Amino acid sequence: MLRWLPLAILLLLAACGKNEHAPFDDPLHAHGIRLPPVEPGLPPLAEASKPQVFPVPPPPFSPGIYPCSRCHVGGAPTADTRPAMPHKKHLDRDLLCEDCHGQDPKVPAAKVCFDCHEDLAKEPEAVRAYFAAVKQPDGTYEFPRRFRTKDVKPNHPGHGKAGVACAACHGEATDAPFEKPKAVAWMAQCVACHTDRKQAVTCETCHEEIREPMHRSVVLHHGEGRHCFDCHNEADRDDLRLASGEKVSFDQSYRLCGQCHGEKYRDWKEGLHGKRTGMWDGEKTYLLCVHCHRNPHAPHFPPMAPEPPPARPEDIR
Amino acid sequence: MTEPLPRAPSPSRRDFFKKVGAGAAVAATAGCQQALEEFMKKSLREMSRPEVKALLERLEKEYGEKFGREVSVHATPPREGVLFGYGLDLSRCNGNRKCVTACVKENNQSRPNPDGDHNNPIQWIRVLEMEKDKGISFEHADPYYNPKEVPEEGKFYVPVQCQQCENPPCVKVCPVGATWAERDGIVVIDYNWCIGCRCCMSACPYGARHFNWSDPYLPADELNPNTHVLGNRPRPRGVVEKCTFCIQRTRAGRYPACLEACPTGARKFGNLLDPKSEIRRLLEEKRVFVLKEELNTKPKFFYFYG
Repeated sequence: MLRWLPLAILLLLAACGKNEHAPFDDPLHAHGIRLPPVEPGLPPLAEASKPQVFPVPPPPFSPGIYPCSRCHVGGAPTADTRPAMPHKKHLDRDLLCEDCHGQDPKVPAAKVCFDCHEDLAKEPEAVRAYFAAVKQPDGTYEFPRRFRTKDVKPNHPGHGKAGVACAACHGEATDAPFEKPKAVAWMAQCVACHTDRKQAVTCETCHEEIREPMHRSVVLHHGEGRHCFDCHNEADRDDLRLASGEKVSFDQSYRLCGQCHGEKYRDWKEGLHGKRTGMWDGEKTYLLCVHCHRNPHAPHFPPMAPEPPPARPEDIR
Repeated sequence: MTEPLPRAPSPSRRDFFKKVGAGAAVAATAGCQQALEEFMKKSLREMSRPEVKALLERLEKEYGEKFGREVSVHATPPREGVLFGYGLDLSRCNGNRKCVTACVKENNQSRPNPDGDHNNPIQWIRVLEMEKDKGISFEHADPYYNPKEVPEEGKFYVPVQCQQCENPPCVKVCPVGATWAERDGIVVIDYNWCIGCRCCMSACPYGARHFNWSDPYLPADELNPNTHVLGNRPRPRGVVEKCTFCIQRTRAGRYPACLEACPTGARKFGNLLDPKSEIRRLLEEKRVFVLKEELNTKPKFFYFYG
């Protein structure tokens, strides 16, 4: 009851008259004071906090400006429609991967094939069809390269020495085209395997040179023991994710922040935390958490330079 | 401190007397007519609507000539069912004074003019630096702090501006009734009626009122041409001025300039009579306090820790 007391006193004193006034008058002497009804309890959250205008998140967190998917392509592996060399048939004849691809694996030159397939004219129809499909107009042969990485160069001999089979990364050999894994799915595989074998899994372990400069500057000072994918959606980098796995777009990042900072989230929805601009009685622009806490990776408010102080009385003339 | 004595606020009124004394009033020159108009004018509160309209036109013309650009002077009246309240989150404020700069820009205060004859910079918001060990203590407050970076270790910051009291001591002491509280709670000053006695400044316990010791220095390109007759219109020398919750903005439905400038989101504003407004939610959910409560001034400026 006591917490209503200041408000009640305030309203009593502040009550305004209902009669027609001159443009400038004194409310303290106005007659016909009526108190507006004070509703007990609080209005429902949804009604009070209905957002009206949501601004675009500030760069560089706007996927429109820096599409994360430009590099981080997520989703299921895509089928490869290029002509397929029947790998399984070769392996069944007691050949090993390195017999053709070498110790530091690369796409074999055509002459490696012709060591066995000496005379194409005597080969069966399927073999002739394959070579015809990969033959270039200038008469050379170019085999499709299925596993290409942008900035990761796996240490193949090292993996071999550690007893990692080729199939662990490249999949079991089949006669059909290999499924081309998405970079993200592939990386998840790397991380899982490294974690199982208690190997290093920092970014630098694999990514010798991370190309996006924004990633270089990311230093996580946000809680303890957090990981990129606690907030970023691993499968689709243009989105974020809640702890529940639900996808959240960048312009609703406040939901993500609100998972841990529930009290601040509640206050923000009611306009008690954070900042709104525009009209106090109309359309407002809500600023998101990252508008003020500029860097979500280190959201603590940085110190800032103050504006100049007021003039001292002795300087006034 | 060697301060010049406050000068009569309206030289034209004095001019008029001089002219009467010299018997020059008989000559109905244009200047004399204007002086007559000024002398015969009433306080804004006593003016009828057509008289207010004529005053606004006269002011617009005067400022247009003085600054060489178009200036609009409004007299937007208070809205029915609106009582303004302000909230300030002391746990957010880091003393960066962005609000002060925005206020000076918006409200046409006198700018610093260190090389000129007159240097009378005025700031309606004063940010006090206090020590965490001592709590809110005005004896240990420093408004002139100027480190490289804020916040400083062990310090906290209390911005103080006009508290728009319900029981304003400044209004009580004014000998000519040049300042009063409007129905929406804003305490205003009629700059044409103020005689510059500064009684209100000594009565105000918050140091919120400021005096134009000399002609305000306001370059024409820095003028905010959207003005209110009781708020940010250019002031003459010898009158008192203070925060009006940005009367020209808030009566048009907009947030005050200091609120929009605050980079930490420490400032809240709204209608105290609207149960759904931000300021009401604040009063209901946070523990708020006012400055110098014991003086019974009943401020509508609430401080809280968010």
